Order: sequence, then structure tokens, then C-alpha cells
Amino acid sequence: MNTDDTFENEMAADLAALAERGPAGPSAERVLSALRQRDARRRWSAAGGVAAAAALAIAVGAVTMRQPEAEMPKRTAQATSRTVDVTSPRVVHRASMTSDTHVAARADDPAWSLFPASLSIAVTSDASPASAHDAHADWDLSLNLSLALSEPAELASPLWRLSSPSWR
Amino acid sequence: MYGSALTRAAYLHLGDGHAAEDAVQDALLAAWDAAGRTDQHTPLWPWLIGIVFNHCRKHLRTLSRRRRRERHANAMRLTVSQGAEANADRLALIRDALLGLPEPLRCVVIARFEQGLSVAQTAVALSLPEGTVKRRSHEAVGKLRVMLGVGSLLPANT
Repeated sequence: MNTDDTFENEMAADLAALAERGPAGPSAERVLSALRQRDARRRWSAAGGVAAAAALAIAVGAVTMRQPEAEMPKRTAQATSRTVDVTSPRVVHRASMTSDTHVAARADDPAWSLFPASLSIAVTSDASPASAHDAHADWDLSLNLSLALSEPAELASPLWRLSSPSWR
Repeated sequence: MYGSALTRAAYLHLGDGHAAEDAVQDALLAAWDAAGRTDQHTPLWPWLIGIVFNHCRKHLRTLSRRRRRERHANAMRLTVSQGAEANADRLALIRDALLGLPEPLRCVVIARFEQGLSVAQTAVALSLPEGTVKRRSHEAVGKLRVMLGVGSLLPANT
């Protein structure tokens, strides 16, 4: 190994150590806040009114987020579904998340299999409908991209519980 | 996975944790919006890294020179207070050198040596010819050698 290789290997190790001193990643709250702000901007912007429809569709007990239809290329999506239990101080919710990924159409790079083309989250509650509604409000945009871009195993992590500050 | 790794790159680029979080957050939103418009053969990771660097540049443009110096100083103090002093000094040297590089060279260093991208992947991430990536990489390593001392990257870590 020549000195250049040694230098570069040491640099890689030190850069990794330096990077560890930084934040772990954008928190769920931060991403959630950004999504809400963006959605609000889209909703209230006359120019962005049409585009807003592409971002969010909220139905009873379900939240769906899709990429703008006009921008979606023809592709074959592969659906995956995961269910996690989330405990809040008020009620136990069950969230089922389904994501259509780019996996089938992105065979060149399997990493795309983790990048969602669309997401939907259904929230059910063991408690009253009112509580479920509150929970849904909490979860409004809890399909934050921080979660969406996580490893599958992380989707069942306590990160879910951080989606709403009120649950702390 | 993506969020944390991208934040590492942004943190090295900007030298500020909060700014890195903001940049990555904006980059993820942009990636979500743009994913459908990408070419079928676009490799995900280099593409995401490129978006993060673009948002880092945007962030830098919005900061005044003075503000940048303040952030840098704060970041350095934070680093020293967080770890063992000797190691913090060592990392502070790296941080200084990295932030002292011209931005185009810094991007190449982060992509190649921290993110571990190949020359080809770095070229995709930065929208550059591979030859330019190689040249910038060579130039960046040379500058870092000068800034950190010839012969070895760092003083021995005691």
C-alpha cells in the first residue's frame, strides 16, 4: 500500500469519526413539520393548488401520500405491507403501512426497493371514534419521509412514537 | 438508513448539525417529489447524495460570510466539548481542513472518502465527468496533505 492509499484510508476513517459527531439525522418532528408546512403552502397557493392534490389524500382512517400523478412514470409497482403497534398515553393504535416501491421498474439498482412511490397508512383504534380521530390528527403526516426512507426493520421502531410531540 | 447517512455527508459539508438536518430534510422532500422524474437507470444513492449537496450549496448561499464563521466556531466548540480532548483536537484538525477546501473539492472528498462512492458514482452524484472527479479528488488530497502536514494525515492519536 503506498502512502497515498494510507493517507486516503486514514482520511476515510477520520471523516467517519468526524461525521459521527454530527446529528443522527433529521428528527421525525422536523420532517413532519416540514411536510406540514409544504402541504400548507401547496394548499394555499393558487398556483400550487393543482399540485397540492398530488401530495396528500386524506380519507377516514387512512392517510395516503403519492408522488404527483403527472410525474409518475409508467412502472410496475410492488406493494409491501407492514403492521406495527404504537402505544400512546391515550390509546393503543394499530397502524398498517403499505408502500408501493420502485423495485420492479428499477432492477438496475435494488436500493430503489426501499424508496417508496406511494405510501398509505391506516390507523385503527381500540378506543372511541373520537380518540381515533385525534389519533389520526396526530398522525396527519406521520408518514414522514424520515420513516419512509428507513430500513424496513426501522418501520417498527419507536420512531413511530415520536411522530407527535403530544405523545411524549 | 438514508436519513442518517445523508446527514453525515451534509454535516461534513456544512460543519453545522442543525444546518445539516435542514439540508437533508429539504433534500428528502425534493427527492420524494423528483423520484418519479428520474431516469430508469438512475442509481439511487449517488442521486440522493447529489441532491443533498445541492441543498447544502443553497444553504451556504443564504449565509453571510460572518454567519458562517460564527457557525463554524460554534461547531468547533461543540466538537471539543463532546469528546475526549485529544481526539477532539484531532477531529478539529480534520474539520478545519475539510471546511477550508473549496466547496467543489469538499464534495468530492465527502462522496469518495466518507460515503465510499466510486469515481463513477461520484460523477453521477455531482453531475461531473469521471475525469473531473479524479482530478478534483487528486487536488483535494494534495491540499489536505498540505493543510494537515506532509506524510501523514494527522498527528498520532495518543
